[in-house]
Amino acid sequence: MRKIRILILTVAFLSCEKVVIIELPEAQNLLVVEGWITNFDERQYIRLTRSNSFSDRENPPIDDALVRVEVKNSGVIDYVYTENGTYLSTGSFSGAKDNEYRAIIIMSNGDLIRSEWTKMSAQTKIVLISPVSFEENDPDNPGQTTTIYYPRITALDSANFENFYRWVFFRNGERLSEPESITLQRDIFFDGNFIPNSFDRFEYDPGDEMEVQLHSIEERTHDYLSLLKSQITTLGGAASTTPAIVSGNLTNLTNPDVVVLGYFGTTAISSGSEIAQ
Amino acid sequence: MQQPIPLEKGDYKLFDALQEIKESGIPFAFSTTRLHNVSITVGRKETVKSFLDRLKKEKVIRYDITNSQILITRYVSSKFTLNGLIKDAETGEHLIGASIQIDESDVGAVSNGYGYYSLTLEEGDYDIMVSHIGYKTVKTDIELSKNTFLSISAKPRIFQLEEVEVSSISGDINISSTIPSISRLSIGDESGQIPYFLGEVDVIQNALLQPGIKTVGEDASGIHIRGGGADQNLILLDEATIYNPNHFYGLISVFNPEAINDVRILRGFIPPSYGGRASSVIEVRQKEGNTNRLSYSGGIGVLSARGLIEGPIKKGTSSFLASARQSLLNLSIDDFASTSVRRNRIRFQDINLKINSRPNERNTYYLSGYFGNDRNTAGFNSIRNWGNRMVNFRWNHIFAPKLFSNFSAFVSEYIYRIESSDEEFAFVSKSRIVDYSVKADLSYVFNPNNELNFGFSSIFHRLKPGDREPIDIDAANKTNTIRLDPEHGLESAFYISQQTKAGPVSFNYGLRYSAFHNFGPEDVRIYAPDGPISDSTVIDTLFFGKNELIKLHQNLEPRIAVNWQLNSSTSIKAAYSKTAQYLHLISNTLAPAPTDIWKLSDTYIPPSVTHQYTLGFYKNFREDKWETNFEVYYKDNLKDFAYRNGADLIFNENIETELLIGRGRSYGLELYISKKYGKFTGWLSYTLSRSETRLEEDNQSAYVLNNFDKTHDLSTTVVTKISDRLSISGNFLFATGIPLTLPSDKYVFENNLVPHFADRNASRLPNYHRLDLSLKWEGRRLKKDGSERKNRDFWIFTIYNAYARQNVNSYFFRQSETNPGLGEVVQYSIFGTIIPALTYNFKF
Repeated sequence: MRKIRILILTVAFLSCEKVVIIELPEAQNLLVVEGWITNFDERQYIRLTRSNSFSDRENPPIDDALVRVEVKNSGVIDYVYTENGTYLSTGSFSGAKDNEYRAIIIMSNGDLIRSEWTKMSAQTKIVLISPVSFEENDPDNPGQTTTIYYPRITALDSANFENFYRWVFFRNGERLSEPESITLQRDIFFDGNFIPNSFDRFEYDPGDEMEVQLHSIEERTHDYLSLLKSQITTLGGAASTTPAIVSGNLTNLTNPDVVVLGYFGTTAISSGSEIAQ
Repeated sequence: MQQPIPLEKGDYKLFDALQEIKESGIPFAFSTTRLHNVSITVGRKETVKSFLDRLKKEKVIRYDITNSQILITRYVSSKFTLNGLIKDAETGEHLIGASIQIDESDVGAVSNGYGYYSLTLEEGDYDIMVSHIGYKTVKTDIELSKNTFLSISAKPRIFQLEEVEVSSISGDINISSTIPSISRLSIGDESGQIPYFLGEVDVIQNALLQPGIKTVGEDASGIHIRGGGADQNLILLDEATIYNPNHFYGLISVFNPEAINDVRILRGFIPPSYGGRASSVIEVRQKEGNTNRLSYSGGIGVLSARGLIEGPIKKGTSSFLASARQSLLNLSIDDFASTSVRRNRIRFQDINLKINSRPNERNTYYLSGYFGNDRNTAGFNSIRNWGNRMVNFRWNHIFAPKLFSNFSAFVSEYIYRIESSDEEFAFVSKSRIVDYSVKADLSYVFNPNNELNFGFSSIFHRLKPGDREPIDIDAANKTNTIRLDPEHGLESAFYISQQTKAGPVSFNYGLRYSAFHNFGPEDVRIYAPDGPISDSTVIDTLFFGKNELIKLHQNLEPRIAVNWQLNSSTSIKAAYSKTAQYLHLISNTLAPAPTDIWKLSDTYIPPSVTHQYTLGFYKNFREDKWETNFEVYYKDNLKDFAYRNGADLIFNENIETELLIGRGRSYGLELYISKKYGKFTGWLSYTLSRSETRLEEDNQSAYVLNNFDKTHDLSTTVVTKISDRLSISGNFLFATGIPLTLPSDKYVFENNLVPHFADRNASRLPNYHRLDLSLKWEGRRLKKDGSERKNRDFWIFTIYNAYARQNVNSYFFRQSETNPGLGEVVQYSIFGTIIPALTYNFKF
């Protein structure tokens, strides 16, 4: 709804956008955690950075923390620092269905940060990716039309469970963040049926490699990503969601008043690819 | 009777005079035991009739003429009621709020919401003066010797045009009326040449130029009156509730100016006859239809075209009106230049209908209807429709000259519907609220200074919060059918109030009792008593059967307004209102969206209760040429709502888990100055105010500004007539920027730049200001031979945002496109440029 509203006004009334410099509140330089355990057998990652002021350049990475992941009733996996704030598990492993994981981080000042337990969901398989096409006027060549492809995906939701999904798209190996960087679904409208999808705004040219991932995630993760999405896409206008702190699932146990941003979650991925033709 | 009396000019005793006349052969009959022998004067060359009439007027005698005699008796004072309707002489339309004044005295009445007035006076001869804004004053005299029904018709002052005139009420009624803080917007007086956005006439947009009425921004669809929520205004069209007063996402209201007669906004005091909303009453009345002749009017502009036809069904007693409006551009939501097949488009239309019939003096019947629709097509196969529908039947009945009644029954509905025709997964999703209502209002006028009002109302609300079903039930890939439980509630009220006057002080006070029954069938969750209300604290679920009472909420709502009139041009008014609201709009965006659903109060969602206090000083200058008022108010909203972070409001059966109960308060000062006559007319309104909320669960928490709070809000409008045919107007607005939450930090999560928002609403957008200009060019009024043309037309040229101010609508925060890793703040203005528009209007 937000998008629609803004667009209406944009068009009809010659609105304008410009980059400005305004005074913002003082930066709090908070710890940001980004980490996932996937069902792929690989070195899993956790990335630690620090938030900074809007006018500053890239967020500083944190390279001196002690990072590990605890597997419930099983043991601990150590992570080692590589570069750019990224810590990788010492060896490859894949997250197993129903296993529960949590991240434990010890900062150089001694602060202990821990995530909630997060449980690996069951994978939902992509059965088929069918490229669908339509003709549209070519914006670059007036009078000409162009063929646009988008993926139509066949995947069956498992019945009697509440399932939560996230879709990720790649074009020729490159992850798409447009037109929406986070695409989420929950199965209240299609429990036990095929997952409805209409991704006509993810555009592929003829010959492009169309790769799609279907992530099965927990409700908690869905809610976090949904809140995150509402905050990164907010345009602040009347139809926008009220600005809010995107609270994740991590707590600073040493100093509980200090907010820890980001999220540590699990995701069971099914992927497939097709050539747009 | 016309023969001269046989008395010389001079002083006489009554008995001597009567006896002498009788002896001259005039058949007087009288008894000296029944009369007082007072001194009287006889003038020169009086006739019998003028002599008797004079004595009667001097309250000395009464006389009756029988077949053969003139019976003379003692004067006995007796009272009679004068009642009737005030009407437009051209159209027969009833005039609301017209003033009826007796002998240029203070005695008088104001026609009620149906154009009806009632005055009880001593027998005698009176001069009556009827005045109403936009109409020529009518003077007539009446000999009141029995109860009399007198309808008075007033001629429009100039031509009926299609602008909105915003004013207080005519003459000095703003001083003498008891109720403070009323804004009246009447469509159809030429002094109100407000420039309109894209040339459209819009009553709601124009209401924003009044003190105390605000909106979040140019693209926002809710209006906030004295710090109240967008869902706290009772919006009535011909007395039936309208749930969403907007088309086109708030850019224009559903009230087609062609069909609208009068708008009244009660922002300070809500009379006991109204209830159900916490903040204000916005009362919109449709025209009634011309009872004298068939006429047409219409207009065409950039945004819409509209037309109206009205006329008598049976001349003088019944009439009809039909009006329609259609958006003209199939408005494209995407780039105009884009020819994408996936382009979004929006269009809207309205239909207004009204029939009224007055078969006799005692009864008037009205049937009015409204149908409105917005249609938005998005992408390949998604269509959204939303709109209000309403049918209302009313009956005005005069039981006795002093007892007036209005009965009404209406059905009003707001629906929202999404249809996705995507082959395999096609579905339709809809939400709906329907009200079935009956209402009775009676008023008994003891005398011009004492009126009793009483009545009841009952509304049965039926809400279908959400249904979603596949279009093809047999499709292989169909989606599931989901039907959220409907909600049922009966909102009833009884009220009694009195409008009375004691010397210079007048009162309007009363009591409203309101009750809200929440009925089954419904499953109601029971949450652990100590825990928060959340999915994880459910300990039980109770099932309530059909029509089984789930929860009863009730409130006693006292209301009082007092006016102390210091002199004919000065008064002080004070008012207190308590209001309860049992219906809430669930909306987590800065301003409401058409998709937002309504929710009834229930076991976990309490009614919203508001106390409002108003004090005002009213002063007119130079024979009411200048009207001013100054008011202060304080409003305490005991139950207000807030939402949890990331609240999930879509198809959520248990909305209570996403709500937080808050407490709101608003206070402010309003100033209004208006110049009503002269070469230049116009007004200035200024509001200094604050509106804020805090969460109730934490009494220590600080109040946070509401999204629509504007510290200073000023608007001024000036209209001037250059020639008979050309007039220009301008209005200027200034307001403090709305509150804003700014991010202190930025961070990156999966390559997305995320703003980390700090203290909520702790900053503000830059100040807003804008100048609009308009020019009106009227067609010739006279034919070449000097006679008046039957057809009238005019052009309006408007310039919105005349000095192209780029008012900031919002900021948004994104990754720099040129410097990845760097965040940037983008300022967004909806109207960054001058917007000219031209409209053509006609009437014939």
